[in-house]
Amino acid sequence: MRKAQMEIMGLAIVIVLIMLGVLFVVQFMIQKPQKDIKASYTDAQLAANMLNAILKATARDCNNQVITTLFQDCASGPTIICNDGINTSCTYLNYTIKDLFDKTLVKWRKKHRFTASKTPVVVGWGDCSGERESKSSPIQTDVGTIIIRLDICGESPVTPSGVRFISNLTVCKNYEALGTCANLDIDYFSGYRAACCNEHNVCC
Amino acid sequence: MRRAQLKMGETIAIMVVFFFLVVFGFSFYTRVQTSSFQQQYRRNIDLNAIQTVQKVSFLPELQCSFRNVQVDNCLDILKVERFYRELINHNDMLNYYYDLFGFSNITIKQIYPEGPTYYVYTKPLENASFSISTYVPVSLYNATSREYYIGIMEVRVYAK
Repeated sequence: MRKAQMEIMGLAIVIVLIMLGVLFVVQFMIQKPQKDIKASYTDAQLAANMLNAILKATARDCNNQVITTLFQDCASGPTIICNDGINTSCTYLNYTIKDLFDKTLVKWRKKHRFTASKTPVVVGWGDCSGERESKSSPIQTDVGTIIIRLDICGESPVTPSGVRFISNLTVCKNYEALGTCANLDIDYFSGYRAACCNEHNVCC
Repeated sequence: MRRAQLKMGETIAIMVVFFFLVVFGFSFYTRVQTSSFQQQYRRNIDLNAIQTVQKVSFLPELQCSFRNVQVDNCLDILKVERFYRELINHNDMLNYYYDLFGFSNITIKQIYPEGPTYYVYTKPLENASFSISTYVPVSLYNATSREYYIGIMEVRVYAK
């Protein structure tokens, strides 16, 4: 073999080695990080199981009524007065469900939103404008079908600077339109009003 | 220096660079493989935790049933209490359920209305390097008063 052929052979080997290296690096770069199996399973199960368990539960301190019955009563104008003689089905549901979620979803840092159509029952924590796992359950009432819905929310959208939003623009605007900005910290979490102001210049 | 010596020096330099690249590449590959093994190990433990949660959620020994029809996501308190009593008193029963649940702790905390914590299965792994807890909301049925409560089932799986 001549000297020139030897040189070309060496060059070819070097190029093959470089290509192998590049392929190896590219393979790692394009490989997507695997989704956490447990987290996705837990979120899916959490919404469904929580909703089922809530609707089936017996409210001992509200005339031993099933929660579903309290929702029906709340939707068709509350007539049930709970054992304390003060709370109606609607107010009882609001504080009971909030208390329940404070002990579970908030403790586990799971952002969520619970709503029941045709009733004033709304419980939430954190921004729910990103990905979410939703479960809903229809209930027949005198005023039609009401939908009880629980969203377990994932990561919220990211600002151009890479920081995650804490508050939701629509929520902030709605509260401002109703003049109830002071309730943001109560209905969501402490600091929500400040987040509305900082992030969207609303409710300042 | 003669020409042959120069050639020799050049060859040695090339060999040094080549072996340096080989060692660097190998150490990089080993590190990547180790992290990939760890991820796979963690993934398997996660799957094991999910499996255990599923098994206990659908265990006929604990599930609520009405006229032989089982209800999903519902555990009968009387069955749970009796099950654990039998489990701690009978070693062969514990061995049988060890095949199903392995090294894990399964408890249910009644949160609405506030109530006791029920034990389902306890077999922690001594000197476990870590454990994974999974929380699942369940309905608890009190057959005596025919009331439903809300509980949180904690399944803690241990791993070395």
